[in-house]
Parts: sequence; structure tokens; C-alpha cells
Amino acid sequence: MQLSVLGLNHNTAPVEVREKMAVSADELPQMYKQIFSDPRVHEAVILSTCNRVEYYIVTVEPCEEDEILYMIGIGCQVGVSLLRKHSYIHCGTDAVTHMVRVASGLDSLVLGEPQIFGQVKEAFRNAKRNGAVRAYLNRMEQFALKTTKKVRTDTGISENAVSISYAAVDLAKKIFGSLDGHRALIIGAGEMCELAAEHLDGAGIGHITVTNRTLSKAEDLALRFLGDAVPFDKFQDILSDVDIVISSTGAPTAVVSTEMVKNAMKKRKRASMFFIDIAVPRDIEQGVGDLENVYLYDIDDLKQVVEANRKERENEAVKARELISGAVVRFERSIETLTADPLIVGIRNKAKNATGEELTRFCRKQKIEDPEQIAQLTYMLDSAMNKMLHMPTKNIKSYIADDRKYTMAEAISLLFNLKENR
Amino acid sequence: MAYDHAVMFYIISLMFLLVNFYFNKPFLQLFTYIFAALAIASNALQIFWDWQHAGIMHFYALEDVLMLLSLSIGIFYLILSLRYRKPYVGFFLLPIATCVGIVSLFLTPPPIQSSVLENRWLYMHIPFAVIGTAFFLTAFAAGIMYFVMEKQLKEKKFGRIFDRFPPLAVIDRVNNGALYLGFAFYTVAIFASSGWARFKFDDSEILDSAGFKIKVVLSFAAWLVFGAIILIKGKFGMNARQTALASVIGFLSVLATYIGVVVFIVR
Repeated sequence: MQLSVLGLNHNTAPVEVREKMAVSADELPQMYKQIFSDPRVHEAVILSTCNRVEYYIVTVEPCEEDEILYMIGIGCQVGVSLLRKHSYIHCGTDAVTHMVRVASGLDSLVLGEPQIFGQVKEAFRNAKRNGAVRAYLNRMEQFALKTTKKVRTDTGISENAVSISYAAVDLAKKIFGSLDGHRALIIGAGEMCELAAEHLDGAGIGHITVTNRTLSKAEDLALRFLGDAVPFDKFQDILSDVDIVISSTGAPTAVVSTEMVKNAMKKRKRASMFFIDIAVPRDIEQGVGDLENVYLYDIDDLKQVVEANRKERENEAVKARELISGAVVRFERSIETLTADPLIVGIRNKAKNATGEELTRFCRKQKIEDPEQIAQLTYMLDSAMNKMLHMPTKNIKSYIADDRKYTMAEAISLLFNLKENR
Repeated sequence: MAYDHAVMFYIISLMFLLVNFYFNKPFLQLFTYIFAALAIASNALQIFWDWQHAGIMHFYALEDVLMLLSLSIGIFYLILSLRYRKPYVGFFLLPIATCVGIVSLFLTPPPIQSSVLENRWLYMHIPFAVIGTAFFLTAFAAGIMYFVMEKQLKEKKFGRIFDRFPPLAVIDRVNNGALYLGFAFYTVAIFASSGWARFKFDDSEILDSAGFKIKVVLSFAAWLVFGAIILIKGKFGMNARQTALASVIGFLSVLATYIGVVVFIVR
């Protein structure tokens, strides 16, 4: 059995190619059908996210990279040549390592991002629904998810914010601890404000108020987070009620003056206030940061935080890669026993059929019809069979990956531990 | 003997705390907690042993008072760290407990035997005063921590201190709690000491000494300072920064009391 992966991601393919390769949930059954039309494919999982599309396939016999390319590429919209140009192919151990790295976020656009873990889980769920997962990928799923969890707990790969808006929320937590019960004012309704509101909401902020020159946009954004909107010329009236202010407007001059904040601070008895200015040119006067108990950060400050956190994550990624390499070696060893399973099942079925037939013949000959007696005989025969097969089953698993040559006599002797009994 | 071990454990725990401040590894934190717990257990064992051995709780020497103080601070450190799940919330407490422990090791108890020192009011006064002081010390440490963290936030220094120290709101919560509890304990201590002072003792040389009178005045002054802080806080409100400043100033007044004790009474 060999796992192979063909994929393309944000590093290897432009968005035009990625969107052509993307597989929606509705298209999945058709896609799986197409993959399994090749008799060499034993199992498969398709992972399709906004930044990557990957096809994991398990073949009974090892395949060359070109074979994999044609297996997948034939049915794709982009064609084999374009796929060859923008994709990567990993086979065997490399494919196993790749899957765990992807699930751990080591291969993501934002290093260590956690969403991919859920997307990998979802991909396996879909594959199972389409009957594409058997013994190998079942084990692979368990291994990938378990190792990913270990990576996340044992390394700091997912710690510290690496986006501007998330870093802003992280900074707010450094002042207020939990954001529960605190109020935030968002000045502007653009993409950055939307992201900041999302992160604030995710961090459990008590209430969000939005203000914007176009009130309807502010209302739309506020509605999404069950907050409220105030007209742009009225926001200074509520400044003393909010603890966090995030501003990102396109205004050419400052919209929050030092005087405004001074007055607000007086009203709130100088309780701490936190200002984040993500706009360029800046929305908040620099003098605000000099006021007592007022903390002001601009886009450059946040970039500094993000950069430091990114470096920290890169250091942690080295540890994560080492951890994954060790785990993959152990997985490869354990997966070798997988080829023993059909053998063991075959032997046991044969034995079971033989004892069943013998029991029926014996009962007919001895005219035994009492169900309790038959049950006792069945129990006795099963026990004997299990005892007889226990040693060979164990030895098949132990020696399945042993590539030394044995004579038939030696093999049988090994299988039944006959040397020990002599 | 157990106290020697306690001080040794305090030192080891402090070393782990400092090393972990640099590396920030969970297992180093675990060792900090384990050794702090061992130090607390040994410290408590020594106090219990002394009590059993002498038959009474005696706190007539500064050595005994410091032993109880290091125990209280050690316990506060562990409780705060576990309660807030922030290993550095009591960052300044462990060094203080260690220093108090080391100082008390170098002190030898004076051979004082007096009925003045074997009174139930005193048994109440000293533990309450010491635990109250430990609370004030915690508030003081939180106050210092607040200013350090505030400086990091204001000057945008995103280094280790910024990363490790707890949020300002958490420091403020610790400060407030320690301030109120400290005042409550100190109030009981003051009342107990007035009960003690009303007794007529056969040998009241200690009570008549000038040093004792100075100590009484200083203790009362410290109680008044903290009383005033709490009153102003309740009546007019104080923000986190003002509370931190008040805790630092307040504790310095308690420190003056103890310097008074050392200079005028024990020595």
C-alpha cells in the first residue's frame, strides 16, 4: 500500500488555477467516482479549501509520479500540462508527512492557523460518506489528527496573533484581560473594521457600536454582531462609555482628537481606554497616547507585534516538523502490519467455515438437536480454533514486514513457534 | 531544621521561576510550583513543630514573625498563580518570600521570657498583623507590577515582560483584593493589640519602653493610611493606576512600622 498526494496551493498555483481545480461539496461524489474509475486506486481523500486542493490516493502497488499525475489530471478542468506546472506530488513517507504538516497548519498561508485542522477532518468525513476510506486512510486519519493535536499542545505553533486585527484584540486583552463585559466602538465599516469586529466578537466582547459616515453601512456591520450604530457626528457622545476604540476610516485628517478623549476620560474617572488606529493617514491624534491610562497603537505598532509573533511561530515550526518526522517513522512501522489484516481475516474465515461444517456434520451424525448442547459444542470448537490461531496471528503481524528469505519449513516453524516447543 | 529546607526550596523555586521567565516552558513552571509547595509545607511544618515543642504559639522574636510572613507570602504566590492560571501574576512575591526566609535564618531569637509575651491577645494580634502585612505586601508587589506593565504598554515594548506579565485588569484585581483583605486582617490585629495593652502585667517593661510606644504609633499610622485609601476608594472611586500608587505608598508606611519594631523593640 502506498499513499500519494497530488496538490496545488497558494505557493505553487495562482488563484485562477486554484479556483478551476477547486471541488465543491456537490461535485465531490462525481469526483470520487472518477478517481475510482482507475482500478489502481484503492482509497482516496479530496481536500479542497480556498488555498489548496489536494488529492490523496492509496494504491496497492507503488506508483510513479507521472502515473499519479495522469490518474488525477485526466478528469481535471485544467489539463495535465498545466497541472504538472503548478502542482506538487509526494509519495510514500513524504505524502504521510505532508498530510500531517497540512493538518497542523505548517503548510498554510498563515503559519499555524487552526482552521485547516477542521477542514482536514471534514475532508475525511466527506470521503467516508462517498465510501472512499478503508483501512489505510482510516489509520491515516487517526494518526494525522492525533499528531496535529500533539503539535498544537507541545509547540507554540498556534500561539500569538499573526494578523493585524487579531493582534489588536490580543493587545486589548493585555489591558482588560477578558473582554467580556467591555464595550467597543468601531469607527469605519471597511474590511479591516469588519475583521476587527469579528475578532472582538470571537473574544467575547460585551457590546459593539459602529459608526461610519454612511450610517447604513455602520448599521449593516453592527447588525452582524448584534451591536448598534451611531451617526458619525455623534460618536464622541458615547466615547466615555466605551473601553476599546478601533478606527479605520479613509479620512484625510484625524477624526478622534486629544480634546475629545480628554473629556471622555474625565467622565469615566480615568478608567483605562484602548485605541487602535489602523488607518493611513492616521485617524487618532498622537496626543491621545500621552494621556494617563490611555493606550494608543497605530498600524506600525501592530505590524511590529505581528512580525515578532511570526518569527516566534517560525521557531516553533522547526520543533513541530521534528515532532512530525518522529511520529511518521512510528506510523510507517505500524502501517506495515496493515497488509497482514487480509491474510489473518482469510485464515480465520477458513477455520471458522471448517469448524462450522464439521459441527453440522457431527450433530447430524450424532442426532444432536438440543440447542444448548450445540451452543456448548460451538463454544468448545471456537475456543480451540482461537487458541490454535492465536500464535500464527501474532507472528504474521510481527513478521509481515520481514523481507528475509525463509524455506517453507522455516516459515511454518516461525509461524507456530515450533522451535520453542521442540 | 525544616525551615532550612523551606528556605532552600524557596530558593530553588525562585530559580525555576527566573529560568522559566526566560524560556517559558510548562515543565519549568511545574517545577516552580512543586518547589514552592514543598517550601510552604516545610515552612508550615517548622511553625507547627515549634508550636508543639513549646506548647504555645510564641511570636516574641522577629525570626518567628518572619517565618510566618514567608509562609503567608508563599501561600499567596501559589494561590494567585493557580487561581488566575497566570504563572507570573505573583512574580514579585516569590523573591520576597525567599528574601524574608533568608533573613530569618540569620536571626537568633533573643532569650525573652515574659508574661507580657504569653497572652492570648498577642496570639491573635501577631498572626493577623503578619497575614495583613503579607496582603499589603501582595498589594505593593501588584502595584509595582502594574507600573512595570503599564510602562511596557505605553512605550510599546513587546518583549518578555510584556509577554509574561498578566493583563493590567488582572493585576488590578489582585491589588484590590489584597488591599481589602489586608485592611480587614490589620484591623483585627489592631483591635487585638488594644485588648492586649489593657492587661496589667507583672513585668511590663516592654510595654513601658519608648520603642514600644513608637511601634504603636507607627502601626496605627499604617492602619490609618490604608483606612484612608479604602475610604477614598469607596467614596470617590479610584482607577487602577491610582489604586496601584496607593498600594505602594501604603505599604511603605507598613514598612516603616516594621523598621520601627526592629530598631526600637527587638534589638
